[in-house]
Amino acid sequence: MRFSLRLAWRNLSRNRRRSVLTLLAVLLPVLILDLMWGFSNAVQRNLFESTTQLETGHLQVHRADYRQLQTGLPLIQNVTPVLQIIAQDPAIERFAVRLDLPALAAHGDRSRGVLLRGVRPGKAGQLSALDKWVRTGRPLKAGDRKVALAGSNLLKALHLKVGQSVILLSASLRTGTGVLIPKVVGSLAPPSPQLSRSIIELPLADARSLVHNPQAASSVVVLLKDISGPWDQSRIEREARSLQAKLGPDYLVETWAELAPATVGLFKIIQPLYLAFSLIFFLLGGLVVLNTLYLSVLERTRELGVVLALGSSRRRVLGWIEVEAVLLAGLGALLGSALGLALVGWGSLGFRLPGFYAEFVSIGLNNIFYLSISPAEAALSAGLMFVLALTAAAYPGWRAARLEPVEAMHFAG
Amino acid sequence: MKTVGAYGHAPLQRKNNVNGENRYKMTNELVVRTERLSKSYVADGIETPAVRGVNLKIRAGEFAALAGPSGSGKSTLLHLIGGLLRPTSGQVWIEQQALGGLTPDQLARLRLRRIGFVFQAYNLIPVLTALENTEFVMELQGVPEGQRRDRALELLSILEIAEYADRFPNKLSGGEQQRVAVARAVAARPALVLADEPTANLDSESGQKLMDLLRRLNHERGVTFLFASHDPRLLNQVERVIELHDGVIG
Repeated sequence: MRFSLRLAWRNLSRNRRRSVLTLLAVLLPVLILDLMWGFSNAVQRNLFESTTQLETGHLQVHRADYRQLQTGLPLIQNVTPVLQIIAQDPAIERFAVRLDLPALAAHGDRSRGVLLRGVRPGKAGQLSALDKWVRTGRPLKAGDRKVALAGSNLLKALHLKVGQSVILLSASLRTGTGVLIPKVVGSLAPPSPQLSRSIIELPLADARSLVHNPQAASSVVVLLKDISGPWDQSRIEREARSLQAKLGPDYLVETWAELAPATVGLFKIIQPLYLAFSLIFFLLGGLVVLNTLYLSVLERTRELGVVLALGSSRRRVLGWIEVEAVLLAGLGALLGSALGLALVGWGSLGFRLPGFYAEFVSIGLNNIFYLSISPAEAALSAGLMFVLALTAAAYPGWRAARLEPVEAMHFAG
Repeated sequence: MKTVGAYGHAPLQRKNNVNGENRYKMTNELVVRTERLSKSYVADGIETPAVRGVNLKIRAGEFAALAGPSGSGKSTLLHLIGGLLRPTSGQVWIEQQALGGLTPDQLARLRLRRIGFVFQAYNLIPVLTALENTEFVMELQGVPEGQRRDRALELLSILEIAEYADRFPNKLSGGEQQRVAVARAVAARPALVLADEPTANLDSESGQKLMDLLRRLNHERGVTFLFASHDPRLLNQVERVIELHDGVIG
């Protein structure tokens, strides 16, 4: 084996420039795939965090029949027992109570149908993106009462300004009517114009006063411990089943994936897209390896003829070509992997895409991406290129092994 | 089986010298036998006979040459004997083994174990040193590294090129390269060494030197040589010349 390795190494050293270029052709796809993987994971993680930390949480608890109720308010009438169970669950990091209500907002002679979202002011209690979208004024603070934030398009529609008051009217057969006149302390600019035309955020206690129930909630949003991305979905589902069992049939526990199917759909597109893009580089890399070894075999036709004449088996000749491919592919994959991991490692500290800040923020994403790659993904990209290069070597190897010694020795090429 | 006089040569016997080492002489053992061996090449539908009905016997320890002008079929016959070409008709035996029914892999194994080759253009592997080239066939045979290194060094020493052991072929003269090729051919202790025009690319001095060394290997180590050559310097030194004209021994 040592002899074969030495022979292969020296044969590759014959045409150094070509070997180096081939090495690059193997190295680059591995490097690109590692970076693609790192970036794809970063985007997924970013989307996942934006969705779960600010909107859906990892899990949400609702009334069991909330999806069936087409009218009225599907409220949890007394959320305290739910919160007691959740508070004792060691897998849960934090949770927030929300109360979402349809209502009528009026100012002067103008009125609009709106969605009221009652939250506990302060970061720990919200799990909401609304604070991130405050354009003017200030976000809600702990202890606030009778204040509200409203979508900027809604403010325009109502001819309402920050600092003025708005009349909120909630009416339902189940909860009766409720009226509140909070002062608008800030405007919100969510990415969706529709949301901007309809959203009003207010303290949970104020929202509860509209339904005349100090224990009411429409949902409890839960964040689990040690969840880093969508790749932890099986754990999230396990915890959902566990919490569902604890809460019983009166409640419905849903995962973020059920609540944000559009985000899940994006994930299903992102990864295959990156993989397909990378595969083009992989195929090119394989073709370069094939070309290099084919040329190398062609140049050595006479020599291979001599080797076969001396009594080398065809399998042995094929083996030599494969050893050359192993060296090229192994070294290329190893270097590509090392370089890729180093770059992903550097990117894991936080990577900002210049010029895209507004675009990312407008869709609720963080402009800082944290690249990451799992050991399995790194091994797969290097392994895939390695196997591809070996496969590419099969044809030149086969050709070399099938040479007729006398004809090959008289080859003039 | 005695074949005295069949080809005008007395068979030689293997003897032990005073040191108890083998001293080789030609014996009755047949290394090569061909029977009505023919080979034709077909190109554009035209059949050109290269070797026609050749009957030949080479005994162990012989130092013989196929002679004849260019195109007389020497190289073709040598290739047929070496199992590098398939005959159109007839049969070749190496020792007791008929080559006719062997698969390409079996033929390769037989060449590896029993036949050494020396080519006109030396055909050393350019990325291997003189020593590694000498070891090459032994490596293919699976001879352990230490053992093959010792044997290769010994042969390079006999062929008076031990000092060039670590040189690559492009740093050796033609004569030196051919001596490395001879070392490679005999290193694996074949029953027969086939040498196609081994002196053709060498100057007189190098050619003479090579022939002296081959002769020494034949005498001292009992290596059987069959040359194909029209070089009079070589033909003058072999024990037996087999003339070929138009593919026929005559």
